[in-house]
This record gives sequence, C-alpha cells and structure tokens, in this order.
Amino acid sequence: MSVPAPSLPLPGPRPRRSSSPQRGLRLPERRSEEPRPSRLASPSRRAAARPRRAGTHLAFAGFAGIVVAALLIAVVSMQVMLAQTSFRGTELQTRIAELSDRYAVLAAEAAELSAPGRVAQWAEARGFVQADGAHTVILHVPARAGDAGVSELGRDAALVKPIVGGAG
Amino acid sequence: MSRPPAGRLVALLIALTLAFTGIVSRLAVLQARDGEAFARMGFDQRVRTVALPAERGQILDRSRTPLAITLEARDIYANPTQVLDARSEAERIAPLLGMKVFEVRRRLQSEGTFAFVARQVDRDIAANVDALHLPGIGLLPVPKRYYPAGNLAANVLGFVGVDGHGLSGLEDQYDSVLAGAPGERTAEVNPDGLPIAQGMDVVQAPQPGRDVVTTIVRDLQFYAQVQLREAVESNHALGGTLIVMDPVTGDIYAMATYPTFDPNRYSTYEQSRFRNRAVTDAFEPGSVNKVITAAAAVQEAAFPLDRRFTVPDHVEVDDYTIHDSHPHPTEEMTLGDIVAQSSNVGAVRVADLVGADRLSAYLAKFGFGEPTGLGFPGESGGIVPPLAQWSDASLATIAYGQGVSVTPLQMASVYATIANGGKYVRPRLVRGTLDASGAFEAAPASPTRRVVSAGTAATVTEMLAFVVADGTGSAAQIPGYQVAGKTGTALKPDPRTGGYSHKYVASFIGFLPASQPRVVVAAILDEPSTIYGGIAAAPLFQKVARYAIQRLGIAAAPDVGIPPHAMPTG
Repeated sequence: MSVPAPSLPLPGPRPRRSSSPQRGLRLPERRSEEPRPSRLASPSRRAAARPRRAGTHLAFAGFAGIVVAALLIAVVSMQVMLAQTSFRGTELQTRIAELSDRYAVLAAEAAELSAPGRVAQWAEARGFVQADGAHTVILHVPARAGDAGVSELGRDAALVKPIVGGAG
Repeated sequence: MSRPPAGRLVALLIALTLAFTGIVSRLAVLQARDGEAFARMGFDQRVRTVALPAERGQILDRSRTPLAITLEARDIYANPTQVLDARSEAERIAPLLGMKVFEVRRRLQSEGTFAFVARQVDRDIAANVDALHLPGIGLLPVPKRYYPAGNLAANVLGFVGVDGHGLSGLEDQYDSVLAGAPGERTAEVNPDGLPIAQGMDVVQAPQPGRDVVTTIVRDLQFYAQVQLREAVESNHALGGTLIVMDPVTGDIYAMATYPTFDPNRYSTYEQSRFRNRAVTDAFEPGSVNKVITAAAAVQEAAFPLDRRFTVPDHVEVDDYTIHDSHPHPTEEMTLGDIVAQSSNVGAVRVADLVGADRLSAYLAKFGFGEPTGLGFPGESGGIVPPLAQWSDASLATIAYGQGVSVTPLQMASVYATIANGGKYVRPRLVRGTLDASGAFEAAPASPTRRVVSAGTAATVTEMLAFVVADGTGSAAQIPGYQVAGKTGTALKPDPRTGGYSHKYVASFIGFLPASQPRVVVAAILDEPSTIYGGIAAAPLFQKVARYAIQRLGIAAAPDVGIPPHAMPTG
C-alpha cells in the first residue's frame, strides 16, 4: 500500500501581500483555459466584428454630441443669465439715478414752495397783512400777604412772557 | 506605390522649416518686442474710462432747509458739420430757449464739430428741443446749481459757475467741502460703445460733497431783506446793510445787503451787486464808534463816571473845527450824557483823557484793522491809521468814529462784545456740515477773547440803554423790552478831494434785552435822504428786532440802571 505523496503547490507568480486574505489567496487566472484568438483570423470572423465596432462608435459619437450640446446650452444659458443680470444691474443703476434726480427736484420744489418770499407774495395776493410784532404786557400784581419778594411782577423777568402776534 | 523623390521631400522640409521659422520669428516680434504695445492698444480700444462727477453738497439754513441745491440740467450742443439748414433749425430752437434767432444761428454755423448752443438748460425745455429731432443737435447731462428761494441770502451764499465751482460767497469759501471728489468708471465696451456683459467694469464711486449748515434763520433773513429794501427805498438811500447775530455764540442769524441779486440769474446783474457789503465794504462808522471811546474810558478808569464835562457845540482841534450834530448852548455832561446825546465835542474831551495810546489799543482789541476771522471771500479788515501817524485831530475824530473805517460786521461785533459781558466772540456763518448719511459734524465753537471786564461792559450797556431811553435812539424803543444801542451819522470820504463829501451813512447798532442780550442788530443805510441814524436807521433796527423777538422767542428781562447823568431826562 502506498501512501499518497503530499501535493505540492504548482509553480507560478507569487501572490501579492494584501490585507485582504481573499485577495491573497486568489490564484491567478489561467489564460490558457480560454482559446486565444488566432492572429490569422478567418475573413468571415473579421466581417462579423466590424458592425459591432461601428455601433460602438456611433453610440460614442451620439453620447459625445449630447454632452457637447448640453455643455453648449449650459454655456449659452449662463452667458444669457450673466447678460441679463448685467442689463438688470444697469437698469437698476439708471433707476437709482432717476430717483435721486427726482428726489432732488422734489426737494428743490418743496424749498421753493415754502420760500418765505413766495409765501409772502401768495398771502399778499389774497389780502393777508403782516402781523404786528411781539407785544409784551407787564403784569402789576399786588404781593400776597406773607410774600417777601417783589410786589410788582412786572419787574420779574421770569413771569413776563411775550405775547406773540397782532394785538391790534 | 512609388516613393516620392528624396529631393522633393528635402525641399518640402526646408520650405516648412523656413515657414515655421518665419512664423516663430514673427510671433517672437509680436509677443516679445511689440506685445506690450499691442496689448495696450487693444486695451485702449475696448476700455473706456468715464469720469463720474461728485454731487455737490447743499447749503442749508439753520433748520436744514435747502438754500442751494444741485439739479440735473442739459447742455444743448451742435455739431455744425451735421446741421443741414442752420436758419430753419435756429428758428425752431430759439423760441424754446428764449434766445434770439441770429444768436442760435451763429452758433450752429460756427467752425469745427462742436459748439454749445445753450448751457444748463432746464430738462423740460431741453426735452422739447430734443423732441424736434433736428440733425446735428445733441444734449449733454450736466449739474446745475439752483437757489429755490431766489435772492434770499444771495450775497451770503454766492453762486456757482458753469464749471460747477463756487465763484463767490459761501459757495466759494466752502467749495472744497461742497464739491466732494469725482469718481470714475472703467469698463470694456464693444465697438458700438455698449458695455460688454462679462467685461471689466471697475467703478470708483465719487465722494459726494458735504452739506453745509449755515447759521442763517431763513424767515428772519427774509424779513431783514424786506425791511432793508423798504428802508432803502423810503429813505431814498443808495443801499444798505443789516446784520442780526447772537452775541453769545457769534452765530449770524441774518445778513442782508441791498441792492442784491438772484443767483439763479447772476449773469444778468452788475458785478457790484454780488458783494456781501457787510463784510467786504468798509465805512467810517461815525458815532456808533463812541462805544469804544466810552468803554476805554470806563475800563481804564480815566475819570469818575459822574464827572461833568463842559461841552460847547463846537471845538477847535489843530486847524479843524469839530461840531456837534445840532447847535446847542454850552452844557454840563457826564460820559453817560455824551453817549446818550451823541456829542462829538464831548467825545473829544473824553478821548483827551483816555489818550491816543490807549484808544488805539482798544480799537485793536475790539478787532479793528483786521478781518473778523469769518473767512468770507473778500473780507475787509477795515483801515485804522498806525498810531505813529495820529495827530491831535486823529485822536479827536477817531473818538467819534471818523478817520477809521470798519466793516458793518466788525462794528456789530463790537456791540456783541459789550452784550456778551466784554468777551469778543468771533462771528460765524456755518454751524457745521452733514455727510451723505446725514451725520452732522459741528463746526468748532468760535474762539473768544476778553476785551473789557464784565463790569465795564455792564456800565457801557447802561449808557447804551440810556441812549434809547432818553437819547438819540428813541426810535429804536420796543415796548416791554429794554434796548441798548447807539446811533451813528457819519460823513463819507470823498476820494476825489481827499476830504469829506456832504454825503452820510446813517446807522443804528444795538442789542436786547439790555440786561440779558440775546440778539444784536446792526442797521446801516448808505446816503439816506434823512441823514440821521436815529431817524433813518433806528426804525429799521426796531422793526427787525421786534421780528427777532417773535421768531427767536426772546423773553423780556429786568431793566438795567441809568448811568450818572447831568442832563434832565424824559
């Protein structure tokens, strides 16, 4: 009875060290298992590969066209947006300038309408006359019993007030 | 397939090499040698820099109502090479602009490619011109200064030229503050001059000018102008000046000159109307100057206040005879009487005791001979002869205000000093400035200096109140208020003869209430038909002072006493 000899590993490329144990254990695939295409393929096989490659190219071209078109549209849209923003900014600046100008005109108009000369002219045209100046009435009030102060308030400036306006 | 001959290949290689070398050489020239110049040329072609003018600040009154404002207007220009029918176009434009047809036509037919037809035209009028769509006619936006109240404070405000710079008054004095700093916009533009959307667009914003807030009270200024005009007309005077100021702060509430002008149409007036005579024109003050003689005498205690002087109606000094304004018998007068009766002879007696040295020193202390420091363009300092040139006659005449000249503002400041307890306060026209955000920056307070003591000021105030109560200034009385002031009737010098003419300046300067002064009013009339200050100018003072009481809300105050006097009162 013969004892079977232990199986030795087959010679081949040394597996790379890896943290993944599975990777480390994976054996290299045997290319030899798939039949290699012959360099001198038969004309019938070459003819069969051509339509497949042409279809791929067509798809790639279509995809590229879509990407380029999308990019073009994006660029143009962005350009339009920027242009619109720019125009809008210019428009707003113009509007600000117009409003500032309008404000100045209105301020000038208000100052003009309230100018004393114009008001006086307007009043005069309607028969108004200038009021007399201030009239001051000096009050002579007898001192109350017990008051040690002045007996005539007419000398007390704090209690004398000008009466403003016309008094005849 | 046969290979091309080697010779051709070599020839082709050489040709390509040469062409490539040429291209590289040209590229090197364009890039390395001329690159910078071409880059600059390209930059200049597409980049435009436009100046952005700064908005000129407003001039406001005390309560911040605009007195001067900037509006947008249009310059109307012509390109004469594009004008097809100058006559027809002129006939259509001229009526709109209020110009003569031949004047417009002359401009449309001028040489070159650019000529102004009209400048700073209102936008409505310019729009009417633009609506005609005339060939060769264009509009340019420009700023225009506008004075909404017309001639209100015109001599103080001044005006601005077509280039936007102040030419007189506060517009000139505060030009750098009002003008601001212009900015600029640098942008890339297409050949049509329109901005390129994503191109360079750098804006350096202009710094708007600051608003100047004056001390002027608009209503009071208007009233002062109206009353001054009426006084000038009713007295058949050449002109007049009126100042209303606060003696404590130096703020000038009103400063009127007549005749005046409308700064909106300044080019239609004579230049002489532009002067602010209150600060630019000096006059011999006459008897209003006796306040300095009296103040010097009191401050230096030259004699007791109850001392009686023997005062005839005339006196000989050197070769001159000095008269009082009215003939009168020789009388006994105190200093108070001399001031109240405005005796020239009495003033000469007082000046003799004060002395030339001291009187000269007090003239200088009160600010004669130098500008007030207001900084107003063209401000005069007046003329005071140097002490070394004084004769006995000089001392005598200066004592009653002849032989020196001062501006109305200098004279008003003398009374403000007495009213302010002997402390001089520099007058001012500007309270501060406002920036674009409305933040107020106050002007520094006016500097002050002590001229005479408070006691001296109080004594002189009593004398001035006596002038109004019992002297030559009775027309300045205001019921309920004690007024202190002085009349002046001054001879005008005659530049042709070097002596005096027979023309006069009448004045009244005073303050109220006498014991707690709130306002100083100086009223001056040039060559009135009624020559006396007490008759021509005192009523003007009275009217304006009464309005000031009302407008500024001035309360009455206790009366001051009566100075020692020898003449009967009442």
